Amino acid sequence: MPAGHYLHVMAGSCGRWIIQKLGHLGELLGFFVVCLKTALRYRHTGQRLMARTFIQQIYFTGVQSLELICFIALLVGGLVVIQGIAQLTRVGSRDVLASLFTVVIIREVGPLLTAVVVILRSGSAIAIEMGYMTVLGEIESIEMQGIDPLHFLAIPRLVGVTVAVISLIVFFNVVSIFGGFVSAWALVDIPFWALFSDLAREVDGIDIIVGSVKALMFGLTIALVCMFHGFRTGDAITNIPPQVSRAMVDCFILCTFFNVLISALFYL
Amino acid sequence: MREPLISAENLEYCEEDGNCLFTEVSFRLEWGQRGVLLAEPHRCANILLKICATLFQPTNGTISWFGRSAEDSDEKWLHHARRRIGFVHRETSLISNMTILDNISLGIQYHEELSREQAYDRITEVLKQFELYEYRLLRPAELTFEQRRLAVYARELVKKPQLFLLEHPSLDLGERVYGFLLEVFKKCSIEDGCGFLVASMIPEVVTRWGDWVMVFDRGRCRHFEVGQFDPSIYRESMRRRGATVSREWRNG
Repeated sequence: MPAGHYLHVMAGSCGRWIIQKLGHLGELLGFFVVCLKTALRYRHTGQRLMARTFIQQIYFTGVQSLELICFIALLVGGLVVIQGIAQLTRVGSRDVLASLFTVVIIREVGPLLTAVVVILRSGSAIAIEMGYMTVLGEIESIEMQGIDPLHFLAIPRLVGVTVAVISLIVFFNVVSIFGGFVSAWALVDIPFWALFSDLAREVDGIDIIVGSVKALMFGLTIALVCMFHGFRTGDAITNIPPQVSRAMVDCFILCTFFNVLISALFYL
Repeated sequence: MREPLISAENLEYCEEDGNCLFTEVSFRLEWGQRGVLLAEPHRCANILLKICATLFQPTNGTISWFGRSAEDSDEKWLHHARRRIGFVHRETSLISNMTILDNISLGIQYHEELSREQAYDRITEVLKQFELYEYRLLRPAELTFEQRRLAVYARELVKKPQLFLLEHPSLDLGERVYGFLLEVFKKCSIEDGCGFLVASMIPEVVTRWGDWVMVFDRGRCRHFEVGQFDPSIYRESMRRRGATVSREWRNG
């Protein structure tokens, strides 16, 4: 077979994969638009009940994840300092540690790792819950109460997860900086306040904007993708595991993609 | 003259693979009337009830609820219409992560902007009537089948619907509880003019429920007034088809 043939086949496969993914992205976007329309249509309905579901979602995604996020953030903060000191000492520029912190933790690793924790912990729970509700006919019984399931189930989760992710990213950054500073002080005796003032100089407005945009995008993506796959479970209980697995993979790919895209837009 | 609760003309429902479960199904259910759907296999009646409950769309044909056709109904109106329809599915579709109290009061909490306590006060009477009061804080999985089924009936009755769609009304219920439910529904029918569409595989249901009977046979339906209905016709039709006839049927 000529090499051209293989190139042709590869290009075809890539093209089909891209078209398929774009189609899926279009479906997700459509789902988001329907959610927005539903939120607007029923904005004055069931506010008390919705507020309760919203608070429960923040509690589950945000408050109950705090311990886990705290543990991971401390470890990551320490790790960045250990690697930073090891590499920077070689070139004799330990004073750029704060700058390294800003680039690695606040801009990139903090938002992405927080998103991964939320995907694994809350995203999977949402996809499974929606899947079971669909299979067991609970969605239909909500509809028969005259309640739009998108309004009652999707909107509080969408807003709740987004608010929780934004808060968790801020929390992750603060804890990992603290963990890193403690490690730096313990390992090489760099004064805590010296590092803190360096960091305050390094972090500027654009970092805060980028962090907020990433947090917003990650929160919306996780809630949207997990609910989308949960609602698509159909009527067989065996459909739940593949849908949850697809939701996890999609969430991770999309969050990584948005992370790169937003960084490129703001920092290049 | 009041519009019929539900009227259907030439309904047809085909699945994605082209297999049509039923064709040319037409009926009218007036206020205070009780209709029975007899079908074996039961899937035809199940789908037809879901179409009547506004959850499914027919492949062809027209259907109206409370005088308004499906073509003229947007999603918002359909949600409103669903509050006027009490649908008891064969599977007890209570929300598994909510207590019985929240399951039954969900609709009124959502639509009437009541606090939890206000909503609970509103349904206390129904819970006592259905002997569920002491189980109100339990989740559905902690109840017996009969209690779960009763909770679904209670949830639908709290809505004060005008049209009831009931699938296997006697399923999982003991004779005493079933008798109690019949009394409750009779009261609804007489006092509020509620209509009932009941799906079953058991012909005895006709004598307890029906004003008219619609029998599904090979995807088509035949209508009978209750006095004209002869269960042996249906039984014979099922035998000819070699269909699995339910135990009650064989014994009957």
